[in-house]
Amino acid sequence: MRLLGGHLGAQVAALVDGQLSVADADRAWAHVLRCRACCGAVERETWVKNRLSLMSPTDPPPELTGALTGLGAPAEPLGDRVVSAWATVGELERRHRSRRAGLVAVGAGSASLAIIGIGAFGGLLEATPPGPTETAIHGSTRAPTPTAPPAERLVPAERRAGLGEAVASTSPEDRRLRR
Amino acid sequence: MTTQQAVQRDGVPTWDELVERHSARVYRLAYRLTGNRADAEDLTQEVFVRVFRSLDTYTPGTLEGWLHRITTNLFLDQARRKARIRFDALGDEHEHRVPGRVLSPDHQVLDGSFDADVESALAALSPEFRAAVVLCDIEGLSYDEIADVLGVKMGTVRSRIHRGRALLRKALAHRAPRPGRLRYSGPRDTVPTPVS
Repeated sequence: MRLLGGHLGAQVAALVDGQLSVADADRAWAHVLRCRACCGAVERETWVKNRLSLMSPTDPPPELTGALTGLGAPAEPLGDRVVSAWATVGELERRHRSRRAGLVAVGAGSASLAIIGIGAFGGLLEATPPGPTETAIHGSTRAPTPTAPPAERLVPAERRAGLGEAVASTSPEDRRLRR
Repeated sequence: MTTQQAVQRDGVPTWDELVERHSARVYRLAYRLTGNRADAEDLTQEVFVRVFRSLDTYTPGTLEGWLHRITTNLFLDQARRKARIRFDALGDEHEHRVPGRVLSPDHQVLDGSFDADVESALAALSPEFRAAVVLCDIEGLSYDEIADVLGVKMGTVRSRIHRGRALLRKALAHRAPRPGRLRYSGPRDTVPTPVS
């Protein structure tokens, strides 16, 4: 279909792409040779076409081919899949059991260590009066550390809670908070 | 590759052969259509998933056309879906006037190479125009083949290619010749500058 005045319009594309019949192409070229506007249109469209065809190809990333090949890997038969799924479940359960046993052992070990520790500290506290020991150790080189009284540092928290109600209630900060 | 996989049955290529022969071609088309690597990879994978599912319906000798059709139509489906979400309120008549995708920063910061300019201009076309131009000028398909791939009439193919190229030329107008540059690389006005 020609436009008014015989201009080519969208047929320019077909002419540039060699998609017209021989007769139509001859007629179109005859027009282009005497029409400046259509000549310009052909020239511009040819330029764009050439630019596009000259674009350098972009290669796919190598890992893509591997992923695509993996799509075609033969699937495991259903029977095998069930067996392997149960094997996985068994393995998970086995790991879970051993982890639980490990945790119980660690828990028991910690509890015994705590009992032994309390006993040892308790024994130490009873056996050695706190003040002189500290002085004996630090006395020759430096003054005793003033941050906390020795008894408070050596007595475990549980025992301090029992004995130290008076100490705790008399500390200035605590008194401030209680007010 | 196992021996069993390497055997060809009745002209049907094995999966490995199919991937080896056609993945690069499908990826390049996907890259030109989508305009970026990540989307091109996704599209290529989706194409091969479709191919894998439909291998039993494959007829020897039609593979390339088949791949073109699947790649282009998957791309157009995705682009239309995105456009519907993005421009729902505008209606169908605006489809050709609104750019197919918003240019990402890496497209905006061009490295000055010509390919980057052309890629950028191509990415700004609407998906329908882009598909027609890419299939014609990069893939080298005839109008008949493009009409078949896109499922439209020959006149529509011609019109989309013509209008797509006109938009590309406008987008590349900064490449026009000017004083000091004699090489013809894109006319700015309607009067063409003759090739020297």
